[in-house]
Amino acid sequence: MSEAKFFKVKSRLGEMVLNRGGVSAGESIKRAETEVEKTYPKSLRTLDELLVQLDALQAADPADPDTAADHERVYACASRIIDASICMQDSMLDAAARALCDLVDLSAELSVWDAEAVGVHIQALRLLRHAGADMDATARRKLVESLYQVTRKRVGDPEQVASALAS
Amino acid sequence: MTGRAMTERKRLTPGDKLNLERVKFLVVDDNTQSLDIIGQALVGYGVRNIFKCETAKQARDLIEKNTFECMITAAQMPDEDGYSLVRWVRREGGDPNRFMPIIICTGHTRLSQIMYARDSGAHFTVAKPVTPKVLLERIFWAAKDEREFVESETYVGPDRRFKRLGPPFGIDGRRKEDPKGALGAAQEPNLSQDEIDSLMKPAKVAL
Repeated sequence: MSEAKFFKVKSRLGEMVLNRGGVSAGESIKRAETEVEKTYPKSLRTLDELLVQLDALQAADPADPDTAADHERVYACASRIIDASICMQDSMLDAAARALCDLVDLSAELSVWDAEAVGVHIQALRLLRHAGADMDATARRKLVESLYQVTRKRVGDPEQVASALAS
Repeated sequence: MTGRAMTERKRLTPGDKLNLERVKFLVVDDNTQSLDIIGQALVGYGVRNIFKCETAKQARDLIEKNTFECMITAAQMPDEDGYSLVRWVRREGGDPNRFMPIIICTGHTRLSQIMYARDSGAHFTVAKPVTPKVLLERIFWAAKDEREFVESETYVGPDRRFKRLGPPFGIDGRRKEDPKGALGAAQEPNLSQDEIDSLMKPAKVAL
């Protein structure tokens, strides 16, 4: 087996970006936030569409042979909620969607499916979407923590599975 | 020196100046909304050359015909994921593109992909939803990155080894063993040389 080679590469990005004046980071971030806010109305519409899709997927018959494909769709919906949740940054909607991704991913690894656990996650997403801004930070955090408790109790411990996969 | 003044990476401060006007960015994401969000952030930073594409295949075609200074790609994409695209760039992207800083954006990493993600060869990973502040800081870090490049049979990309110096000063660490707050100045005088010597002096012990 050949040895690894280590070498320095001149950074063209560094040459172009640093030491050439430009705009302050504070001002750049402010302008960027203004630009990104233009996408918020579309993100809100997408969030609502995705929640409707999740409801439909949850209602699918678990005995249906297409259910495995539905699991992938649940994962895809939850992933897209993470993207779109930029318009509700303080709601912890992204954390709840990540918890749903964790649940579906773990379920796939263990070849199990707990529709009730998925349902609890979807209800939490709906709550955070509509009332997340009015909830205090502790309540939101506890809600997300409770989702992970549901996953550990009903399906398994993601950290143990991750360790097993890594070894 | 107080506490944890040594940090791995300098945090971006509001006064730091960056000139991104002439930088050519390639942004790859199958989710057009996510593509829009990153595109709008780059517009806000003053970037004029933004190439967007929705598949890894389109990205490969663009990389073969253009020179980019930075690539921002989604991790999960349906036909070919971002990690595979990064591997291709590092091995077959041609000079100078194969050395460009690459930032991977991911909402969630599947359990089965954790090691695969770590070994892709990207400079940094950013958690979605990507905020303008975090993205600009990662671009700043990528511009200042001085890590050596590594080429081996199993990995091509920036050196993955970081010195573990704890969280940056003033930032609470996420690890259990990270101390809370600054360590502060020493409370007692330094040991004298004799005291240090006595600590290392072999002593006779009764067996």
